[in-house]
Amino acid sequence: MSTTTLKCKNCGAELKWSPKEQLFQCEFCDTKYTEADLADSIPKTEQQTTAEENTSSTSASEDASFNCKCDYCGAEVMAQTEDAATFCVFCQRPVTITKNISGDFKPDLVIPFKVDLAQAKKTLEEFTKKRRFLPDGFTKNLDKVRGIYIPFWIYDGGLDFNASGTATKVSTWSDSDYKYVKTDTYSVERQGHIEFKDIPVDASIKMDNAMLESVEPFNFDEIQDFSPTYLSGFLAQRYDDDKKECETRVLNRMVESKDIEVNKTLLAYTTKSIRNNNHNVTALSDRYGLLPVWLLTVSYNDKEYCFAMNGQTGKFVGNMPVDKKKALMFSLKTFLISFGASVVITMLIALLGGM
Amino acid sequence: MKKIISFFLGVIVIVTLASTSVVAITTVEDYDYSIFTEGSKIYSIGGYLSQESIDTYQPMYQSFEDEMAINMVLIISDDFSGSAEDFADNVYEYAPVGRDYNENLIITVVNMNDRVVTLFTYGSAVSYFADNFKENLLDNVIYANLSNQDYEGLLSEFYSTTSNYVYEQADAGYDVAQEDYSFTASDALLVSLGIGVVITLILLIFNLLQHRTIKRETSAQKNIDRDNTRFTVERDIFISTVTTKVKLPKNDSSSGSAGSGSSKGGSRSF
Repeated sequence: MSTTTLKCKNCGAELKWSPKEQLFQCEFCDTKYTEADLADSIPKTEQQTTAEENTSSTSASEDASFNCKCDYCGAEVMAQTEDAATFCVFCQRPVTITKNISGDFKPDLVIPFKVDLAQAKKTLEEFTKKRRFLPDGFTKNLDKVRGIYIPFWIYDGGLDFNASGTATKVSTWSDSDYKYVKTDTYSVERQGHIEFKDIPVDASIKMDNAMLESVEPFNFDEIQDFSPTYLSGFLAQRYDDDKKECETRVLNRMVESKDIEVNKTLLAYTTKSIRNNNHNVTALSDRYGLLPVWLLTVSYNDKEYCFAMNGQTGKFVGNMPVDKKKALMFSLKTFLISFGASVVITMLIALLGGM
Repeated sequence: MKKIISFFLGVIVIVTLASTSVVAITTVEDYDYSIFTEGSKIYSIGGYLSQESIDTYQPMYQSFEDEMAINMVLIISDDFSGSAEDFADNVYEYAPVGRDYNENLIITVVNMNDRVVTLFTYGSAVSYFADNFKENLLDNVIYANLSNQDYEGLLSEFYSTTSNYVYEQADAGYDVAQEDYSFTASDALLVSLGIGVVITLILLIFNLLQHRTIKRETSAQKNIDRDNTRFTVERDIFISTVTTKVKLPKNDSSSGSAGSGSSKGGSRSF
């Protein structure tokens, strides 16, 4: 099994991507490198053979793991089938698994990490501080923090649409005797084209789709052509989700957006009933990319709580447990304060009204 | 010596200021409302009604107030200064014509100097007595009797017509007490309880939602390329219009806020 570790040209220590510096940095001698500086060290992913895969795979199942060799210390590193970059458990150095970033699995694009580990931890702290009902010491049980390049299909495409139906404008007024209701009915028709750009759909079965959708949006202006060097210092996975399933998800999102856009033009109407609603997808294209996400896991009460942070923008999401006692006390306090205040105010009103 | 002079001067100044205030108060009142005694509802200044009639009807007016919480007052006077409206307002504000309260007052003021009669309502009576009733009372009872100089008839019919109307309203389930609603301490507690529960629920739900920030992205709004998005057809064609009308339930009350305020029901010269 072929693995790759980027090494410092000065001292031979491993290099890691520094999100803060947006450069490759040697942790030992602090030398910094651009991607161009390391061009000759980048593994030739296209030349990767499949023979190695066959011999080193321990199982053919979906959850199969396999062994590969750490380029630095020579230790056997166990990796999951979908892992594209991992760490050597012995020397803790980053290991890139070449077969998962080559051939069909070679990503087209990558958005490098911009948010570093310290910032991710700080954001978690700030995020949890604002949650009133969080159990005490919840963040102390921070189990794992992993910077992962998640595989995404990035879609571009258009949608021609034709929607028609009826809509009504209802107005009411009254005089001294009657209430009048006037209903104007219109035939409405909308046709057009909506162009979509860079819709990311995560292509990893293991990852929670809702969580990854929650860390959107990514800024695709900063996307780079893929180079394995960016994976250095982070975990990475290759896609394993069914591409057709991903396409269905992206189409659903496009159609929903089309409906929102059509509805925006019908806001002047009180009711609308769209009977014919057709669309035709034009030129849907996809690119395979790795997008940066920090995953933080907190263990609490024998349960794992996973948080995700957009490794580019710092957007943080996650569901947290609720301390029922805190919630109860908060409710009680709030009730007593609001009840007390409103008693004073209403009594004053009653007194003043009675004067 | 100087101290004694200053003391006396000070006393003179205080007395002067105090007497000025008294004069000012007297000027504001402008009328001797002391003639209005507590619980008296019929006043005849200038001898237009016999004492016998007053003594007969006074208990009837009073028992009607006790029973129905509506204060009927009839004032016939040739001793006015200012407008009838000011006079009626001052009676409402200062004269203790009602035994317990003056809140719901229907008052007929007959100005014998100008020969003008005016009907006023106060408090809940403003909305309780319908406009058409007031018009009818003015035209067919008050004006009719005054035209004939039948003051005794006015006293009698003002009572009978008004009380009949009130009893009819009561039979129809319309109680002036409903109009005379006042905000009590128990109401305040109940409202506060509701406010407390609502505020607590809103803040609780808001805080609970803060604990759940993962939600599915169902659309691709953020990924629309606006420069290359266009509507080629936006056609709205008018088809039809339908207007329906629903008869409003007749609101038999006049305009004016319930529970407070006053209303001039109208006036007639005779």
